[in-house]
Amino acid sequence: MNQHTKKHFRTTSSIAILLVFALALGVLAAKLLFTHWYVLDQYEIPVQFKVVAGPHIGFDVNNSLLIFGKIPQGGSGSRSATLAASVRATAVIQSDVPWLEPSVDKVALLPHQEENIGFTVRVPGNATPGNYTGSVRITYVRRLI
Amino acid sequence: MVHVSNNTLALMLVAAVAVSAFSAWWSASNLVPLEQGPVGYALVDTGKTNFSISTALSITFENALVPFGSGYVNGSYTSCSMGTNNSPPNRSANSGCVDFNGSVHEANLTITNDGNLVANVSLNFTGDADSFIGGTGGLNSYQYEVSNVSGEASCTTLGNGSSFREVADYDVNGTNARVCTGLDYPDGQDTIQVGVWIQVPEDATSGEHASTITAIACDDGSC
Repeated sequence: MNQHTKKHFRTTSSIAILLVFALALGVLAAKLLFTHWYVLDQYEIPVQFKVVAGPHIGFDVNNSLLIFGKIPQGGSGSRSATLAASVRATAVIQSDVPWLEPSVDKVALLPHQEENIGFTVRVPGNATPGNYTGSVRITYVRRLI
Repeated sequence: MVHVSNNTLALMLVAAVAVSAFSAWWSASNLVPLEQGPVGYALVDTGKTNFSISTALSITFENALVPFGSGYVNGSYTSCSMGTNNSPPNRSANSGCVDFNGSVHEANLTITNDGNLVANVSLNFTGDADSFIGGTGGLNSYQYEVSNVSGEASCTTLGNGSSFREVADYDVNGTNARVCTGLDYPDGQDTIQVGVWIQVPEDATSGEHASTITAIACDDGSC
């Protein structure tokens, strides 16, 4: 193999490697672009309930907050909420409230289609009576495309 | 003419691609949280979202809150009866009961409207007399009564007319029985009470028997 052929071969290899590398970067960029989630909207809903001793419960049907009223030790309280979005999105539910369990951690939403989720507070039998507060965060996220 | 080596060209190309990729990612990451869909994304018109809380709220009374305890039926009786209220119709509390908790009648279940909206209240039970207590049908019984607390005019309409009634199919299996329409909220007229009364036949299955009572409140006709 003469010098000229060797040089031509090295140049061709370098270009091939460069093209593969550029292609890989392009794929990575496309993946980032297509799979990246971003926040559409976010709701922070205060939650409150009171644990009481004895056979007594208390209601508050106001729906501006997630109020569970008075729940006896060992009892439970449940409310539901409706989620909707005008675009295809995913709602992620997070909570810092003790003993509060959302029925799902996240729910896929189709455009203009409502989904109901439940929130249940299960108070242990040995829970200390008193007021408990916290919040539920609903984050609507969607893919860019 | 300045000659640029292949290596330099390659580095410039790689750098250009890297900057381009980073820019694409950075742009996508920093779109302003949307009231509308992403600019230029023609398939999306708006990005509005909604979150609404139902007015309906349910709270459960677990079995332990009516502690009938454990015991057995006196051999000279076919059943024993007891309750959270000692005046069920045509019965004497605790007749024929041995070792059960004879003082549960002091603790009616109470339901308070703690909010600022008039509420309707329904009850649901996890089982009727046959499934909760068992034994010979007709000798077993599981009854409840809803009434205003003495001296209070809390409920506009009591669903069962303030008398004991048998827990039946319409109170279980997810079907709720409206026990109070129009439970008021001002202090002193915001509480109703639920009396529970059971009759245990002598041939009831031994072992633990449990029933959960769920009270559901709402400000409309949904409960």
